[in-house]
Parts: sequence; C-alpha cells; structure tokens
Amino acid sequence: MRLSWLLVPVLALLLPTAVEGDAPGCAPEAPWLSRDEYLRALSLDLRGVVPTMEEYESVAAMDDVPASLIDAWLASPEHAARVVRHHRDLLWPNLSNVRFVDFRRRLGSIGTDAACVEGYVGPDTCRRWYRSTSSTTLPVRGAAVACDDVPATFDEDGNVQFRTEVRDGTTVRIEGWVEVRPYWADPSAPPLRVCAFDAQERSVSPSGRACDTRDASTDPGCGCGPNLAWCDVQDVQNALVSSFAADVERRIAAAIEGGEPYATVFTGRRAFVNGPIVTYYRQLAGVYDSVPLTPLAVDVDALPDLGFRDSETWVEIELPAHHSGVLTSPLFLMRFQTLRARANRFYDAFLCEPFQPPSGGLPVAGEAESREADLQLRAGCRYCHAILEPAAAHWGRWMPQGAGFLDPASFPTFAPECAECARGEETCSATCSMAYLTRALSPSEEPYLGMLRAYAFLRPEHEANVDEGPAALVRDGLADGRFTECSVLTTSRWLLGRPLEPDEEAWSREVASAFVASFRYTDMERAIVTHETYRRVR
Amino acid sequence: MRPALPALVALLAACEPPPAATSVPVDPGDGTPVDLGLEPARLRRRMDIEQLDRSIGSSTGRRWMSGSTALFVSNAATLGVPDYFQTTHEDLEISPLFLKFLDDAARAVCSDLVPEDAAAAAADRIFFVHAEPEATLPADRSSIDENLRYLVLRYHGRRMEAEAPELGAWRDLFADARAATDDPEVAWLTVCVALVNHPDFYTY
Repeated sequence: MRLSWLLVPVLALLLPTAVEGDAPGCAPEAPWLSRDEYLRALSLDLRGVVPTMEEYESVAAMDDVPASLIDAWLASPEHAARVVRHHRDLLWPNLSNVRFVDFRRRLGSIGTDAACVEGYVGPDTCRRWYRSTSSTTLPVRGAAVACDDVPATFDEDGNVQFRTEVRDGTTVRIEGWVEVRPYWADPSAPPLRVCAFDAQERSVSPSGRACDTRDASTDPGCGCGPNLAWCDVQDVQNALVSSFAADVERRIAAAIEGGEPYATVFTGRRAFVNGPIVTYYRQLAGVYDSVPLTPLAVDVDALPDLGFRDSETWVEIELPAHHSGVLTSPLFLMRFQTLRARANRFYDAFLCEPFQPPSGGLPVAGEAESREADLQLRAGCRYCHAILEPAAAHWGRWMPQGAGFLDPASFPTFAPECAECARGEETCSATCSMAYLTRALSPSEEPYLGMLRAYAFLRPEHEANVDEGPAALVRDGLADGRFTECSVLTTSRWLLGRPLEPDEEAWSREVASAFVASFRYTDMERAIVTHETYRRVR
Repeated sequence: MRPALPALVALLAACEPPPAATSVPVDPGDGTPVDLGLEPARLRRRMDIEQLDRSIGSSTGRRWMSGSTALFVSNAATLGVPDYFQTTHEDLEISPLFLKFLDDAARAVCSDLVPEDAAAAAADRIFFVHAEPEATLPADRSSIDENLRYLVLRYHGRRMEAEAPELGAWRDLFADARAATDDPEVAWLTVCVALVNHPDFYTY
C-alpha cells in the first residue's frame, strides 16, 4: 500500500494529458457552456461552491438552468457573502495597522502560569500583568520592572504601598499585585494578578486628570480602572480589527439580501455593532492610540447593552443623519486616513475614474507654477487635484487620521481661537491642532488659518461639499450615470473575469438598463450571468 | 560527515547504472484548428481559494485540514489571497505553487475519503455510489463506468454518455492504477486525486 501510493501522483498527473491530448478522448472545447457546465459556473460565481448532485439531478430533465434557480441563488445568504467578498476588492478592508488603544495602556505579563500552581518548585514566579512600557513603569517604579509576586498592601487611605530597594545605584519602588477580572475575559476564568499600581480604579487622579482619557496614560495617579476598563491586551485589539471590518460586511450583506437599492450601501444609516465595538465606544474611545474615533459619530447612549465577550452578537443600529453608509464607517475612515485618500478610493473603485496622469505624461512647468501652494493650480498637480480637492472636501467633517465626526455645532467652519493661536498669540488647543488649519506653509494659506482643514483653498462653489458629506458624491454619480456605469464595469469584470472591451458598450448599456430599473445589485448580476457573453467561455 | 558524501554517491553509482534516455514516438495529432469563436466571452478562470476550499469540501465531504487548522486558510497568503494591505487582488494564476498545494490537498482529502467511503453503508456513500470498492475490470466494467460518470459529473460538472470517448481515459486510468498496484483502493484513490487535480475541477 505504501509503495504503491507513490504511483498515484505519477498517474494522476498523466491523466489531464491523456484526457485532453488523445484525439479519441479529447473533451471538445465548446465555447458555449452546456447546461451542466453553466450550472457549475453560476453556482461558483453566485454561491462560491460547486453544485450538489441533487442540483445537477434537478436540472437533468430540463433544457436549461431555470430562471427560478438563478433567482433562488441570487437571494441566498451564500450569494450575499460572494458580493461582500467582491466588495473587499473595492474597499480594501484591513485595519491591522491601526492600534485602537494607547500603546502605554497595553498590558504585558511577567512570570508563568505554571508557577502559580500550588506545590510548584522552580525558578519562575507566578504571572503578573502590568503596563509594561517604560513611560508607565519608570515614573512610578524608577525602573522598567513589574511588581513583586506577593499580594499588594494598602495604607489606611487605600493607597498602594511600595517597598524600596537599590538596584544598580537606582532606587526602585515595587508593589505587590491584586486580583482582577478583566472585561475581556470569561467571567468563570480565574482572576488575573495585576500589579496594584496598574490596577488602580479611581476615575480622577489626585492631579485632577480623568483616568479614562489618553492624557492620563502616564499619570501615576491613574490605573487601568475597574475590570481594567481603560487598558487592553492583543486579543482586544484583534477583536476590534475584525469587528469593524465585519460591521461593513454586514451592511453590504443586509442591503443585498434585503433587495435594497445598491446606493444605500453608500448613503444609508444602517450599521451593526457587537460586544467589542460597543465596549470600544463606551469605555475605550477616550484612550485611543494615534487614530481616534472621537468626537464619536454614534449616539453612545442608544447602543445596545453588550459586553465585550458578546463578539458574535450583532445588533443593527441606525446612525445619525450625517452618515454616508460605508463611506463614513470606521473601517473606511481608518483604512483611508486622509481626506484625499478617501476621495481617491471612491473615485477609483466606485466611479471608475482613477487619478492618474495622461498617457503622454504631464507638461514640464516653470518654477513659479511649481511653487504654487494651491494644488488645484500647481503645475503637474492640478491635473488630478482640481477634481480631487473638491471631492476630498466631502469628507471635510470627518477627522483625518481618525474617524470622529466634526459636528457643525461644536466645530464651526471658522474658529477665532484657532486663528489666534495660529498667529502665535497662544498655544493651540488639541481641538485647534486636530481639526483646524493652524499653520500656513505659504503666505497664500494665511487667509485660511482658523478654518476647518478641508476649507484650505476650497472654492466657494465647493464649500457645500463639506456639509453634504460623501453621500452627495454618490448622488451626483447616480445623477450623471458614472456610479451606475462603474458598478456595471466592476461587476462585469468580476463575473466575466476580464474588463469589458470598447465594442461591448451596447451590452454594457443593456446591463445598466436592467440595473437602473430597480437599482438592485442582484438585477445587474442577473443581467450579466444570463447573457450569452457569460455563457460563452474561452 | 562531508567526506562520506562523495563515497556514498560513488557507491550508489556503482550499484546501479544510470538510467538511459530512450526515445518515445509522439504523435502530435493532425493539427486540426479548434474554433473558439470570435464573439465576446467570459474568461475561463481558476477558482479562488475560498471557492476551492468549499468545492473540495462539497465534492469530497472533507476539508483539507491539519488537526483543527484549515490549511487553505492558514496558507491563504502564500496562495495569493489578498490581505488588502500588502496586496489588494487575488492572484488567480495557475502557478506551480498553486498546483503543488492543490495536489497536497487532493491527496490528503482523497486518502481520507476513499477508505472511509468504502467502509460506509451504501446509502451514506458519496464516492462509491455505483461501484463497489473492490470492483474489477473487465468483470465490473458497467458499474465502474457508471461510477466514473457519476464522479466526473460530481467533480467537473460534465455529464458523459455511457459510450463517451472521454470516459475511456478515466477507465484506463483506473485500470492502469489497478494493474500497477493490484490494490483497488489505490486505483480509486488515483481516480480521486486525478479528479481534483484536473483543470476541469479548479477552473470554470
């Protein structure tokens, strides 16, 4: 058996040659798919899997694949999953480079679990958890060390007691541990031993800082809070990365399965939240790392009551009116962190208008033209930026390098205090630095100091874009047909495996007509997969 | 250790003469052109890795696993599945690497499927549906042919007539494997691996 098995790969590899090469055994390469081959292609494209034998048998007596079967497959959850998968190629959903919680609040551990078992004999100490960056340990302990493997002690006011020792000439302060049940862990699991300094629960430090904010990350008077609410571990980060991506995928699937107009994916107010997302909004948003979701674009009080471990429980919510579907989702905003990157992705993926120079290249400009600060006018840049800048303004109320919403009530177009600090009269607040133009790189930028960043060099006729949001781009694309045509092009490319040729314009119009009749994505797909072009394969 | 290697090679060379190349006559056929037509058509393309994983699962009733790890998932990056960070589209090239992994998958799932299906009750079988595992040629040609036709439909979506010329190639494969190994299980294993490795399985 063992030796004979060696023959299998040899024989198996010979077969395709035998089947296709021998004249008598050659399967004719018919460009027109038979009924069963067509069924297989449909099943793979629409459901992502080959048909079952029962499905082959169900069409055995029929001339062709019945329309009712195609409709049933188009209505299936498996089909929605395929459409979601296709949209990954358009939205590039990956947030693995975004850190959600301040790195100074990441808990690491020292010691081993084995050493915690009673009767353990060995050199290790029992595992303790602590914020392990030097920016948190040095100010308190005097060295990059964790706590001792002993229970912590407290004075009569509840303050953590430290012992001191001199290490390498440095006085080091070391405390013990306390037991904590973290918010991310199974409640039935044993509590963690957390260094008492890191496990502090007070909400305001003696110096007056709110401990659930990023500013308090290195305040010695603040810890991780009750149940470690303001700190994280890698599992929390991983759950947030996958949850924010899953939110968008659920929005797309819901629109496809619900037979809603395709544009609602980009203009609607539906979102989905699970335990990790709710936990982030409720207790972690203030301790962001470098990409904040604040000012929060959701009504936190209206969020469902979900704990972090409810990662498989998804609840649909309605977002406030300023949202534009997936284009203002945390996933999209954090994946494309500049206003221009957001507009660029939308133009490329959903209007099929990539920003690229003409085939002959750009004309060589003079020095004066090259020094123009306004990219809409600067030689070489203006070819794209004359369109890109006004388009990017549609995300002008959505934080760059973040996903917060700049509400007009709190963030007016012009903030006098930000203009004043920009002129050096006082230090700019975090709000000014974050959302407003506070630094002019050229004299021509000075008139825009103190204005929301999106307004820099923005033409008066484009100012409305900022408040209209990205949904207006979709509506414009629908009105002039670019969004519809691009949807047909990208969907055809997906299902045909190739871009449409110029001489297929008539067919593309035919598909577009089927699409605009209802604006349902599945109607467009049906028009493609039932056309003879799909049926012909080579 | 190193000085021993040339000696070992020399010893092996002394044991057995090197294989000599022999000429094999090849008939390239009559060169009849195939009409593929000029009308717009869909491109025949390779399944993506998700389709392949699910389709092997659907056809064989088994996933390619190592313990609790789904190997098409754990090898996704190597197989060209985009992470939308470094890469943004799936490479559907039928590369040597793809064929290597496909062959690994085929051998793994078929090695489980064939003996388990042979031991299953007739009503529960998905591989030996029309032929018994120990069926032989020429005595059981009818049932073997029927099983091969069933399998080609199940794996490739091609419905062959009883006397279809393509069926002969599959029957010959089964017969050759049976003759070479004298083990019906290996013969059917060969058919199973060939079905999955065949372009008609992983393209559409």
